[in-house]
Amino acid sequence: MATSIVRIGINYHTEVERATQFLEKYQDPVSGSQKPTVKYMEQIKEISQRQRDSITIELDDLKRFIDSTNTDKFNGFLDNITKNTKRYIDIFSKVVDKLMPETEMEINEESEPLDVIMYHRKRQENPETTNIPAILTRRYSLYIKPLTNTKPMIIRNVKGSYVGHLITVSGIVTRVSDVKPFLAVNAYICDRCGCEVFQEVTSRQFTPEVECSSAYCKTNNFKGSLHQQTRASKFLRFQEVKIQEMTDQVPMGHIPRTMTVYLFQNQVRTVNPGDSVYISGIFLPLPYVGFRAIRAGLITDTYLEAQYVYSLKKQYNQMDSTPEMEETINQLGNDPDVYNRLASSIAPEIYGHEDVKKALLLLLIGGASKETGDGMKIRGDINICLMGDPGVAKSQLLKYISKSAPRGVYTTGRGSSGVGLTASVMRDPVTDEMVLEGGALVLADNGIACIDEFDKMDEDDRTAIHEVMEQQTISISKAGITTTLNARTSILAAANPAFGRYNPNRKPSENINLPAALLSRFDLLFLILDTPNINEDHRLAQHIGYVHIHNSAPKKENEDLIIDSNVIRHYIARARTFYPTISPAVGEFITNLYIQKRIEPDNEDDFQYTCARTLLSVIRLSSALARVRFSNEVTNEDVEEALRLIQISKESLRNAKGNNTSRLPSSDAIYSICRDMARAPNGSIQNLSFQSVLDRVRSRGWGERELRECITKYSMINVWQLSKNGKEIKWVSTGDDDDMMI
Amino acid sequence: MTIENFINNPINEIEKIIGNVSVNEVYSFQEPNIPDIFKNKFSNEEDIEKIPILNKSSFKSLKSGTLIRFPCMIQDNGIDSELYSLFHLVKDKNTNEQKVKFFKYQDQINNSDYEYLDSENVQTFRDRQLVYCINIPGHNSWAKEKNNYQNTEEEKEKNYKTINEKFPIKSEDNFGAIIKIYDIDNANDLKLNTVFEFIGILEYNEQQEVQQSFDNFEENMLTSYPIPHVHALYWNKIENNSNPTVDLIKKQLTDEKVIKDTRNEIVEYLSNRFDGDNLIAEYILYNLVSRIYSRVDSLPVGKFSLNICNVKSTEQSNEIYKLIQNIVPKSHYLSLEHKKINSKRLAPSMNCIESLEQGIGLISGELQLTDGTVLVVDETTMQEGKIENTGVMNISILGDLFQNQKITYDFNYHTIEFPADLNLIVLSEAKSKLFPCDCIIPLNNLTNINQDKNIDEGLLNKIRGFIDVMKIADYEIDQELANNISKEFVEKRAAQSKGKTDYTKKILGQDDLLYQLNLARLHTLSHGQTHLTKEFWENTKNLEEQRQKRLDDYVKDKAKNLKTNKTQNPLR
Repeated sequence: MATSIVRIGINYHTEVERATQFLEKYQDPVSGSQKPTVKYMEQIKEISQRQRDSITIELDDLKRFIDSTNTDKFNGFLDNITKNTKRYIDIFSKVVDKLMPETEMEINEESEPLDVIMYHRKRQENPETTNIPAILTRRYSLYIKPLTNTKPMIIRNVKGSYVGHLITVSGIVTRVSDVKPFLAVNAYICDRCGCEVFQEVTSRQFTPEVECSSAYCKTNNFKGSLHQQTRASKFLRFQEVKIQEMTDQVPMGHIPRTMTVYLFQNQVRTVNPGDSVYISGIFLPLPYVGFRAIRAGLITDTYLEAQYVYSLKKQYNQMDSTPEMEETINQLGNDPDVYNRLASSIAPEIYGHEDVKKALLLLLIGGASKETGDGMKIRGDINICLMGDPGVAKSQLLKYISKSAPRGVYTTGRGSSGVGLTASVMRDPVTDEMVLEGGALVLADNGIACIDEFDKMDEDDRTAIHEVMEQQTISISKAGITTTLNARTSILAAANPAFGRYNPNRKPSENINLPAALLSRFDLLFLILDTPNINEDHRLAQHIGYVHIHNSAPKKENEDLIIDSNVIRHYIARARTFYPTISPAVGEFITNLYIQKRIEPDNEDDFQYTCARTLLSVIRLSSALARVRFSNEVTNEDVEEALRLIQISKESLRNAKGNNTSRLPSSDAIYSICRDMARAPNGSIQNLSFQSVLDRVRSRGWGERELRECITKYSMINVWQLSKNGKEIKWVSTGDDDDMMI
Repeated sequence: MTIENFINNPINEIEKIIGNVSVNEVYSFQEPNIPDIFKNKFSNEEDIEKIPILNKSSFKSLKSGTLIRFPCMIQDNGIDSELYSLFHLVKDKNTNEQKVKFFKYQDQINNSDYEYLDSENVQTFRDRQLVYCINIPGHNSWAKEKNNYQNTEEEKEKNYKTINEKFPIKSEDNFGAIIKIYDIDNANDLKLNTVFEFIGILEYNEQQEVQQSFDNFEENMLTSYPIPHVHALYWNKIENNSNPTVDLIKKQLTDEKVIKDTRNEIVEYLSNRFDGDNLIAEYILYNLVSRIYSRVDSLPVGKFSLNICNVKSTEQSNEIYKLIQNIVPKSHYLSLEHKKINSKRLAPSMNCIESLEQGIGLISGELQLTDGTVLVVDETTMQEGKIENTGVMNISILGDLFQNQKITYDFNYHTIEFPADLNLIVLSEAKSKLFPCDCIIPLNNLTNINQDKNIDEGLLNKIRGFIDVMKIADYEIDQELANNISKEFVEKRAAQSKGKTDYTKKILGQDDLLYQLNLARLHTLSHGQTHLTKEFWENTKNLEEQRQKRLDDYVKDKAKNLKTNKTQNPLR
């Protein structure tokens, strides 16, 4: 943590030599038959031709160069650069100056004053004029870019021991100053001898020179007074930026720290307030000035002189992953049970609701968006609505999702701020300009908008939601601004029943206080009811008792199977790189199932019928399922699982009616499915393969257990029999008597 | 005498410990553990009490360079760290001698004795952490430690700045200082809003005025203002909720009878204020002894927010607050005038434009309070009208505080949630809709709040001590009793779903069980016990029934009044 003086056997000349060699010899790696370019020499040439005004020494290149030379000539060179960067910028600049080809330019009216001065200087050939600071004639700025694998530091970990080093910090930009001129070289002219005097300025405050120091004035003992020459002085563009730690970098109970960053020349205006950035730069001390300097002798502030700025967008495709994480994810991907494990790891503190969690997992992953030839977009984002009694952890699920998605926004339908859900026009407090400020839905572009209390939403916002959910845009015309903003977001909504609690004696549409047009836009709609259940209640009560006795939550069952949310995030990021397609065979499978569903007399409820939107939902869900498997192809199983989820979501509504009594016992229902399947188009009855029945049964939300139960039950009354190998279901009285079955 | 030397001129003592260091020894210098030396020096109570306490009034008479104690709350721990040099080369003006001076624990030297020399050779940079601390907000006058430091020198006005935006509550006694922390490894313990007592060396600058500089970035740092500094040698966490009576009362509460009597006295004292209303006294007591003792999956366990409704006027709520203020060490009365909630943020936030007017660093809000503070929210001060953005934000932040005991701080481009542990009481006319409380209890009609006319300090101290002793006490439930309770719950729930169901009413859920268990805990603690018994459990249920009945009656009464009003004016 402390700086200490260490004897470092560094020879200035060898360092210059090394730098020269690198700049002259380094060749960019090229593929194929392209002629390798001498990258830096090319750049230097461009500078001399005024086509370029900056040069960035990439340490990656240097490392490659050192590795390729295979000598120990460059031992420690890289390390020296990162530890004393300011000095090496100087060295490299000098080398570049030397390598810079001479340019002869005619002086005309358009020439810069500096060129004019230099031109005259050369003609004068006065030995006195050699005293020109190098920086004045430099027409480029030189930066050093650190190795790309440098891990960014957290601001609070940057300690005094890093002074002078090239470091990379990450943070969020909170303030940006105006771009100001920074005086680098101040030029004067003497009123006696006409000699030009240059003063190099290195600190933020300086004392101007007043007396001419030329030999002529000195020998004659004239006290020539100096006058400042603004046109010949060199100013740098300069901007001061403050960056603040990001939320996840702040330890519990602390508040974010800030750091000052100086940007020069080309770097100004590269960042805006609110950007997440990695900034590499030299960590330098800044002596206190003014009042603070008087009260404290040698206390210094610190700042970062930026060398390289990298703006981040924290989205799935830009998340950086470590090799260890890659390994974990590969392992997970090979786990055949990964779908269930991932699902149960979502909001692990909420017990049960496995199917809801599966749906939420698919929401996080999302289906693949498609664009048809004529520019029509088909959304891949999945929308889900959770309905249910108060106190069934809907909000917790929403909050969990909004936190684990990289661009998750949680809001309530009542709209917690003036901006609301869509967007509003606001007056910027600083500049007084009218600005468009995005609401929750715009902020969640390419992410997930979690909207609680969906039923209590403003009428205006609800209209906008219609547009968002199908077209994925928001159109605004307010205060003279007309625009369409992107809102490519998944919507996860939670709503309460209209009468406080869900009343099973009423129709679902009466219980749900939302228009059918809006509801049909949800791919899945789950109804979660709070029904007393002795076993469950007992577990719950015990859990709460435990919390009170031990002041902590009991250890969860199969805790080690739960996947850490960070891993989930990376897993999802990987999954989203796949774009599953549907093969013709699977396409046909879907078509058949869809037609079957259409024909099936569904229930009387207005928003539950099967329509084209259902078909799209199936495709979306199944492509998300393919992504879970890291696959680029949708399989029949994916389609069946998608159908199963849709079925479950419908059942959850149906079941609520009449307290489970209206539904056929599972075995009877399965039997009727089998009967339908067995009926061949020509009216005869066929034997069924066990597997195909199982597939169909699964798509309706039952498992193998229920099927076996059904088979046993009907075998006992001699309706059918399972073949010995267990692969076929044979009807006992097939053949002549068709009507018997019906 | 040496204790006095250590107090009056600690820098001198430190220099004695360090001894002479020559220029060559600077880099190999092994620093003795100065904080430990000081800790040993002040190992007994008596000596510690000799160290003067720093606060607004004592600051006027304290000299720069004195050893002080500063009990305070950490208001801002986001200040950048600072580099300083361990040594400086100075010239002694009296002897004209050059000397290497040890510069830890001080920023400046006496200009009349020493002169800075170019110190490049002895520079050894170290980091130190800065935090900004203020007097404990809402600390009631009875609980403040009396300053026993007497100074005969006449007090003179010192030039220092108090930045109002850094104090949650406006008060005459507001005093803030920058604490410089040298023990960086342990600085992580210095969490926001925690209460510590720092023992360190006071330093301030007497002559300097703020210089206006053109650089708008520089001038807006805390360090550029004349704020007193404290160079911390070490620090202690303040226990017992900053309540000085706890230790004494704890010693007295030895046998069952004393505990029982004390509790009866407390309930009597409280109920007397409410015309002998025992029920309300009980519930207020529960609220005061509650604390968040655990957070399970972000669910705060132990919260017990209380909504006292049927409060007729703001005068009445003021009376109630006065009563509470007198028995708890830290409390704050939050009024919700229209203008205030629309203009001032209640939660702390960071400003992007820093200036003296708008505040520097973390700007405080009225909700930046330390754990264990009683926050009384007076809804009767609210008026009808439109609230704006800030107002909406304030209300939702308060709502979040009531529900989850956490406060969201705004840091410009992101927000961070800070867990809180405040005892929340809402005073409202009707049931409070804005702030969902765990427990609602109406005042009896016609209740006058009687203030204690002849205050018996002894009794008051007993009450004060008892509440905080029980607040921090441990608590346990038998597994068997817990099993019985959960069985009871399951049965109740099952019974509710049978028979004719009223779908407009919520059935018993997890929250109700949590509430019941918590109430049982508070009931037990308020009896000075730490173990839940069957009897206590049954008592709790009885009390709940009484409260529920009163609440139902109150609601019915209201509805009836509404109806009679209507019948009286059929034309309206």
